[in-house]
Amino acid sequence: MIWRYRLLRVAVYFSSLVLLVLYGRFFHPFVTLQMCLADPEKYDGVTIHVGNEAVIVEVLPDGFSLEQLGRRVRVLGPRDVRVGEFIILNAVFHKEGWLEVKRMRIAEKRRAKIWLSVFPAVFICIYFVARFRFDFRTLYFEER
Amino acid sequence: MPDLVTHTAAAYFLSRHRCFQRYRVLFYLGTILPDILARPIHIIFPQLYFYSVAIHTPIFMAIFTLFFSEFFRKDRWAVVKFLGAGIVVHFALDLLQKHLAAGYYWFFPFSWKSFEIGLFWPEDFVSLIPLWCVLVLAAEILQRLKEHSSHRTA
Repeated sequence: MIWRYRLLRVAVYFSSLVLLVLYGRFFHPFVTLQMCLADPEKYDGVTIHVGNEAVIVEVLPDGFSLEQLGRRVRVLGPRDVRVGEFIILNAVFHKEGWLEVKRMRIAEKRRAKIWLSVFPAVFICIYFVARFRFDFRTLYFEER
Repeated sequence: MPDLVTHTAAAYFLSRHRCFQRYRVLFYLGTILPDILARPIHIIFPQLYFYSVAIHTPIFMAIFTLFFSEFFRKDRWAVVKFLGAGIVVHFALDLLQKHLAAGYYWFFPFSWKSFEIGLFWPEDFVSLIPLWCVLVLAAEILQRLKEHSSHRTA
C-alpha cells in the first residue's frame, strides 16, 4: 500500500518535471539566431541575444565571424577579438544574414570554468556514493 | 553560474557546524545540483539548450528535491532540508552575477522576467579559485590540529 502511494508521488513529481522542461522548450519568448537564419525576412532588424556556445572562428576587416550550432555568421563589430574565444553578444539581425553588435563580451575564462567545475562534481559524486548505496531491490538509497 | 569550485567552497564554509555532520554530502550536492543537471545538456548538446531552461529554476529544483527524497526510506524531511538548503545557497551565489541578456528565471513558469544583483560576470570567480583552495585547506588543517590537541588533553 505504502509502495503504491510512493509510486504515485514519484509519478506526479516526475511528470511535473517533464512538463516544466517541455514548457521551457516550447513556450520561451526568445528569438534565437537559429530562428533568424531560418526565416531572415521575418526577423530583419530584430535585436537578439547570442550566447549559447557561440565561438569566434575568423577575424574580418570589419568585425569577425562566429559559429553557433554549426552555422557561421558574419558580425559587424570590434576586431580586437581572438579566434576560438567564447562570445556573448546583443546584436541586430539583418536579413542578409549578418549581425550588428550592440553590446558584447568575451567569456575569457569559460573553458577553464567548465573544466575546473568537473573536479568538485566528481568529488561530490564520489562522496555521495561513499555515504549511500542504492538498493535496486527496494529502489532506496541506504546509508553505508 | 560561478564555477563549481566556488559553489563547493561556499558549501564547505557554510556546513562547518556539527548539525551538518550526517547529511553534509546532501548539502554539498544541493550546492552544485542546478548546474550539474542543466549545464551538461547545453555545453555538450547546445542544440538542446531550451530543454535545459526550466532545470535551473527554483520551482524545478524544489520539485526535484521532493522527487529525490522519495528514494530515501528514512529521514526524508532531512533530505529535503539539506538538499534544499544547498540549492538555496547555489541560487544565492548565482543572484550576485550579471549577464548581457536575462540571467535566471526565478519566477518560471509564471514569468520570464529576470533579476540579478549584478556584481560579477560569471567567469570572474575563476581567478579566485586558488584563494578558495588555500582557505579550505587552511580551515581543514586548523580543524585537524584542534581535534588532535583536544584528543591529547582528553
